[in-house]
Amino acid sequence: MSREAVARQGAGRGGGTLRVGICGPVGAGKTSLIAGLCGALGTELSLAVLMNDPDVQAEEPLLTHQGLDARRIAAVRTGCSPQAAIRDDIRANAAAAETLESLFAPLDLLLVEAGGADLGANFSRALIDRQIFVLDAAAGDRTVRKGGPGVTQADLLLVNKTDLAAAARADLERMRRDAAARRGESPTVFVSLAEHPGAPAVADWVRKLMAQRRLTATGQERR
Amino acid sequence: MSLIPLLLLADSRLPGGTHAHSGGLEAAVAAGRVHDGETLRAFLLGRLTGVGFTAAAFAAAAALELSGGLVVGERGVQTREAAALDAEYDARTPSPAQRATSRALGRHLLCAVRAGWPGVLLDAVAGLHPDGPHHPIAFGAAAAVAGVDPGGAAEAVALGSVTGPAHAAPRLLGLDPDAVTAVLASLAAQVEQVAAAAAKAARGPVEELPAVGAPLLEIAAQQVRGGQVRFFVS
Amino acid sequence: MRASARIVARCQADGSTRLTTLAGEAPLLLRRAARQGAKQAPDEGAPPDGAGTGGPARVYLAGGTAGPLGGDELRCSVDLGPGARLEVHGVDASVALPGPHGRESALEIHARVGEGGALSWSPRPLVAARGARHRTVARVELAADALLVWRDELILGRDGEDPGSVSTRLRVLRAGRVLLDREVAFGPRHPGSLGPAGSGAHRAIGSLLVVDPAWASAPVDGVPSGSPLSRLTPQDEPAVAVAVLRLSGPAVLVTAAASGAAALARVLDGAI
Ligand SMILES: Nc1nc2c(ncn2[C@@H]2O[C@H](COP(=O)(O)OP(=O)(O)OP(=O)(O)O)[C@@H](O)[C@H]2O)c(=O)[nH]1
Ligand SMILES: [Mg+2]
Repeated sequence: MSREAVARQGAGRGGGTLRVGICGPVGAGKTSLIAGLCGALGTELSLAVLMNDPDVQAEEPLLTHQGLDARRIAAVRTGCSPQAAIRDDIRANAAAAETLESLFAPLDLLLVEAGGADLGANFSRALIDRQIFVLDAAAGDRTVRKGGPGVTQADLLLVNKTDLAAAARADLERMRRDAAARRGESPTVFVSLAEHPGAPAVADWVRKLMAQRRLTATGQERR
Repeated sequence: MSLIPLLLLADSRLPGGTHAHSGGLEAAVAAGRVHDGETLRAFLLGRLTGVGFTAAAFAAAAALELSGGLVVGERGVQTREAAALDAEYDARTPSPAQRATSRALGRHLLCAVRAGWPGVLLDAVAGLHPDGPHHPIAFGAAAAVAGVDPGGAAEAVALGSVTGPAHAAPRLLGLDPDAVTAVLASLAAQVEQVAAAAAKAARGPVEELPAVGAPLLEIAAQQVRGGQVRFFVS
Repeated sequence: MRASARIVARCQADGSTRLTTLAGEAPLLLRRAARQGAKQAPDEGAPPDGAGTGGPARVYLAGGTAGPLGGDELRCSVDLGPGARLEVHGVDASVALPGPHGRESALEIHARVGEGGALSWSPRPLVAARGARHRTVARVELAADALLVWRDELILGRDGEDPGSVSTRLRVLRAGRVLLDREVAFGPRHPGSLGPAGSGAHRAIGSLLVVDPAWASAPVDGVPSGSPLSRLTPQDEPAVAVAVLRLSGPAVLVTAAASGAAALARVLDGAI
């Protein structure tokens, strides 16, 4: 099945809340991105966050600081197998997502943060509608070339910490070329969440998805 | 009875949410009670003859009760029996944390199994309790619709009571997976005995079904260890 | 040996509780408390119970120190009529010992508590001596608004001795519906029971069940505030491990394990 076909299938998860999965290695900036999106979109959208993190209490302040109500944050434990929880056996995540969606209905956006994992990690399309893979530029410039389902299948690839790239001798141009080769038309965004915490490019990407979703929803209603 | 449905239901890769559960092993490791193959074996044996025995008997009883394949309406006779089993199992699980785990795993298991064996029986069992039926009841129901006999259900649940924590051991302790296999193989005969005793008990009255608990597991399940990060749900 | 004991208690017009039957035989001897409301040494020739005081009747269970012995079949029945209140205390720990033919000893307890009644059952611990095989089965039937305190303490072996095998099962029905059914089993005849999923390094295992219909309206998670139970600190330490478990009903089970009998008793005492 082509990536587009898989994506289409994912889009068939149905209407309702837009679920965006956020995946990537430990420390790449997943929570920072979510905090940025909470800040940027919190006033426009009703959103909630589901974290696959064993210590969510430590992470919570980052999000509540952006105005997110702590009750809108739920946590799932993954039994030391973060990938299984988002891909092979999504039961706990699916149940927690449904709980958030019904508690805060109508919920526009649910951000699901995966536990830090390797390049092979990606979300099951049964759990989310779209996924973002976050890479740390300071972790070297070979990560995109290595590929793996995370890099190739993500709907959006985010290369974060560009402010640290030079210090880590990572060649961002090389990463850009590799991304184009690996990902074809699919978007890749380079950002420093430290310098631009709101991640405007990602926020816009989400806004566009929301608009599309509303369109199809009204289209379906008419039909 | 064909073995294939049994193997499918007992497969640890069946997406029933079990991978995030250590059956109390994480807490036992944190408390220093389990640290190597030998202590792991002792832990598994205690789980098997305790909660494993009780759960296996309830799974067999549910399979027996529901295997008629006949459901009288949504809340038919059979779901009433299943509800009685669920209430009895609830009373045998004094720890709220363990009750929550058991119900979540029962709900998750039914989600997975209903995809493979859809039908009104599993729908009705799923509706026994808002948080889901207790796991052994769900397993027994799944066995009934998949064509697994009560003895097979008891074997799968007895085995599952040790394989779950056993598979968590390499993750928690860095234990050699081959050593874990050796431990499991050394318990095979006991698993069989426990399952046979459970299947036998399942043919008796509901109130006499086994009720063996494990105080230290109950205590550990309730512990919210100060400052200590937990990776497993149970 | 076969022996049985029977206690029947009825509520009087003045609200006090009268023991209408108090019959026991060795090793299940029953003694009235000397006077109601005062904790005193047991005294057989005491005046009738609680007249005019309104306090609960109090009975001492004096088992003697040796026994039950393998092969013993002991029965104890307790019947509290509506409004009757009774406390059953122990005198000494009982020591389960192996019998001549390696047979099991068994104690069966059947208790019924009527509407508005209250039973407090706190015998002394049962010690499973080396080689012993003992089984206690208790069945308690409560009216919907009856109160219950039920205490169980098992000591695995006398000082420095390997434990014998012992199991206790407590089944409690409230208004005809099962509230708790729980067996704990320890010893060489119960594989794995002395390991890390069983008693671990602890030698004393106990529990305290409190059923209080007043909690029926309290939230089902957590321990009812204001009760001494809420003062217990859950912990899982080598010396003492304890948890306070809220059942699916107006009841709480304190479950504890300790290095020895005294430490266990201290924990459970703190819960009442
Ligand atoms: N210099 C720099 N630091 C950043 C940037 N983005 C995030 N960080 C820091 O990187 C660290 C990890 O960020 P998180 O957002 O917690 O990363 P994560 O992917 O959620 O990490 P895990 O959840 O632990 O896997 C934090 O200390 C952030 O402040 C960036 O663009 N530049
Ligand atoms: Mg994070």
